[in-house]
Amino acid sequence: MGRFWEKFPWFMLVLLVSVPLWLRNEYFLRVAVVVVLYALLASSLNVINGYSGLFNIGHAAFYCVGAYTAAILSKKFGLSFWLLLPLSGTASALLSFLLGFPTLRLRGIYFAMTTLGFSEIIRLVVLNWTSLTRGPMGIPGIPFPSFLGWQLRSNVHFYYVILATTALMVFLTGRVLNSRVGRAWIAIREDEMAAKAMGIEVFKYRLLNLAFGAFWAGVAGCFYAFFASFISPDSFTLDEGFSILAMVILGGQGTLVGPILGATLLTVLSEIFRGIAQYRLIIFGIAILLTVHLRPQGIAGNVVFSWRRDNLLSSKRAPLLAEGADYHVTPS
Amino acid sequence: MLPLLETRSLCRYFGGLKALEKVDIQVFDGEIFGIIGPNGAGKTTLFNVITGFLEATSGSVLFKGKQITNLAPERIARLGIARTFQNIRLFKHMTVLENVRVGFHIHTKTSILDAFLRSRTFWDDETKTMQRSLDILRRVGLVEQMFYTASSLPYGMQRKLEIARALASDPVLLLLDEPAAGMNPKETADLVEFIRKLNKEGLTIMIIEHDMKVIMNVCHRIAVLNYGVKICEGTPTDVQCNQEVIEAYLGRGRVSFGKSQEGPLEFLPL
Amino acid sequence: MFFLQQLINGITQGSMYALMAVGYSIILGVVGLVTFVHGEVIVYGAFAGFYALLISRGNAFLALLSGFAASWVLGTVIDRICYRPFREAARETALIATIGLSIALRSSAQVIFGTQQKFMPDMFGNRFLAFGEVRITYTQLFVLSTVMFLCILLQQLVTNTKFGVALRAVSMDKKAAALLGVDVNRAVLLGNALACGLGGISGVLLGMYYNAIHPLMGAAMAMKAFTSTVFGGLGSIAGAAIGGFLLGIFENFGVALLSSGYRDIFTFLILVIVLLLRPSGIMGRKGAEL
Repeated sequence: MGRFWEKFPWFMLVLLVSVPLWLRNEYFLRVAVVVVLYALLASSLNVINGYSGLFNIGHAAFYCVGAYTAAILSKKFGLSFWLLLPLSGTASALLSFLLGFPTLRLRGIYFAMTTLGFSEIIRLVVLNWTSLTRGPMGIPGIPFPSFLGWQLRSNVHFYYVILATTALMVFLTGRVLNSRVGRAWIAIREDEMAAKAMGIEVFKYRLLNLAFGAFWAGVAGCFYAFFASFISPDSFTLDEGFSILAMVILGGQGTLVGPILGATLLTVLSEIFRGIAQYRLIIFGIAILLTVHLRPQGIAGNVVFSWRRDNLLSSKRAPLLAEGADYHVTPS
Repeated sequence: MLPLLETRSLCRYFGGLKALEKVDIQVFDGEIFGIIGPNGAGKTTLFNVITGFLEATSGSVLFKGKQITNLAPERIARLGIARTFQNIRLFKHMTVLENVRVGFHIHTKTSILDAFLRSRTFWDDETKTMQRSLDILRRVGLVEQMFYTASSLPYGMQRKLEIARALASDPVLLLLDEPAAGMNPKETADLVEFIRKLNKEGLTIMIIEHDMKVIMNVCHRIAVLNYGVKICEGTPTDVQCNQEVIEAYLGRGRVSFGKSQEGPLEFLPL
Repeated sequence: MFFLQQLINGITQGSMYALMAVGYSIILGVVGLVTFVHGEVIVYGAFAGFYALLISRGNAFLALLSGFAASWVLGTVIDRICYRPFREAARETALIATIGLSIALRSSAQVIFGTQQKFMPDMFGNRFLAFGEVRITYTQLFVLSTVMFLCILLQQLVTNTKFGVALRAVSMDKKAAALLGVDVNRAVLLGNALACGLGGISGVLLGMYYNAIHPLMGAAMAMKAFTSTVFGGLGSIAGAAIGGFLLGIFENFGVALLSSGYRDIFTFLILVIVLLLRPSGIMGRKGAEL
């Protein structure tokens, strides 16, 4: 099983790059853009939820801040899209320090509950700070980005931009996970006390982890602002954060592929059932419940989040698990 | 001679419960120091306070003459004190190799940027970590199980892995919390040998144990705790003869202190 | 006497928060988990009360009863879906289950009750007692007395009944309680249902006090309950109640001095400050955290 999941990302990448070649319908192309956008968002949440023992329910906050940073700076100062991508990410990352500082020294549950309030607060601030954000009216007319004199306005253009961004993110994340930093993150997730005993500064690494995840959510927000040309607080409600969470849980936390899978599945499903949009989140919630009951590690998850952890000790297949495990062991 | 580790009047209270009461201990460089006592005597609490996992209610801990009382565990680890835990705290879903590699954390400095760019620092760190991890695994005898998930190992090997991981941080002082628990006699004998070998190579070791065979055979000096108070400290022989110790602690069924006062001769090293 | 008036308002508001927080911390103790679904429990109770008021044409007690009953039932469902199956499992699993359920419930609330807020008429026709410039409305008195009554009832239940003893035993050590013959599953089920029932009542009271309920108010209420519990100190039900009262008072003063749009931001600020300065809360032991 593990072999399959190892090769899967490459297969997916090739498939994804080729999409505009065979998918000609503009509507479907637009869906494709949204799918990859949510893949980015879900992956960014997965970094936080799946690799550092944290639980973030309010990811919409970082998404929101990224989008608004991009929108405001673009309209007020005419900054280019390409510059705004990292800028928005940085804004979100800085914001994450605000969230992380009081909460990450404490047990994970404080963080989790606080993210709930945080998400709402950010939305409320955006909603009420009308002089900066135009409040409920939102910010319209965000210009199309340009690249070497070319204006990017078609779905295909945006598709490749978001695909490249997401691929970059996954690539960098993979590199981090396969390094001292990533190992520290996973150690913290596995056993915080033991990690401390090994000299790992848990608080600092959690902040770093949160900032990294927040950064990419901010980047996603910037992309969204330019893609949709119009943003308003309504796009960044709690429900948005819940959707992203559902994608991560369904697809499988703690793996690189899982969130992408979850994002694809749930986004496509949302589009198919557009008519019953108000039931969307009910279905997501039920999907989470089903996942937790039937396959807690998600579709692509390895056994990390399997709730019967003692199975590993008693299972006769135990030594084989190591081979199949979706783990990043550098070959010697 | 200045002790490597010293506790002075160390107290730790949990509300009304006096888990540690004015404990004075001195551990000198190069020795193996044992801590024994009945269950609930405060042994693990002592380790937890020394390593910064619990705050000392009063008193102080000094390492190499400097105050380390109430420092964060991460900092204490960096100073050269490593430990294992009473109920094994491995990184269950990481492989054996990965567990040991984490132990090297304080000796590497790859930052997130280095990781992105796969810089020179990154490769140097990775090579160094890999080499030393394999080295330690060889010493401990876990090379074959290198890619096994930690939780799939049998109990005895898990304990070995925990020690290996602690060794990876290249400590000056190693704290072992009941390393022989759950081991069969052969494994226990291997462990005793291993501890001796580590000590010969210059490692100072503090060890909490219930298995008297291990303690009496391997320790240079022993302290006995009972209800949070140190009731005796000295060589294994001294401890065996001590009346208070005999009364407080009747051994764990493996070795009994016996009713007679012929104590010492029965417990000569095997 | 601006101060006194605000104090009264704050205490009344705080009493509702206290009730929410008490339910929340009972679940914390008895089930042993931080639950994400309490906010929705409050919402469903509130709407049950709303419809009861509609049907009974203004019978406040029936409304309270309906709120309690609806949330009680919801509590038993929650136990079956999120708590019971995961008793032996890793903590995160149950947590995620409560999140999933709360997402589903939240959206269901929107579907069932519509997306607009519903107005609840003033129970007592805006009548009030006046002491000089200070007014206490009949509604405020009603809310306060209801909460007081419930607290006393709860206190009696927990200290003087077999059920209460079982609850306390289960909250301290489930295995030991089981060994002593306590039916842990039943205790958790009933304890949770009771706590949810209290949440439901607080929802109805909220509706009566603010004259409006909204299907999406669950998240905000969950935050109030959580903040109150942290503020007052974990592991202490009395602490949670005190935290609730204090939160109400502080929030009220803050809102009176600034603006009502900032109400929830205020709650959040208090949470952050408490977490920064004294995470164990007012009544918690120093160093005692979740």
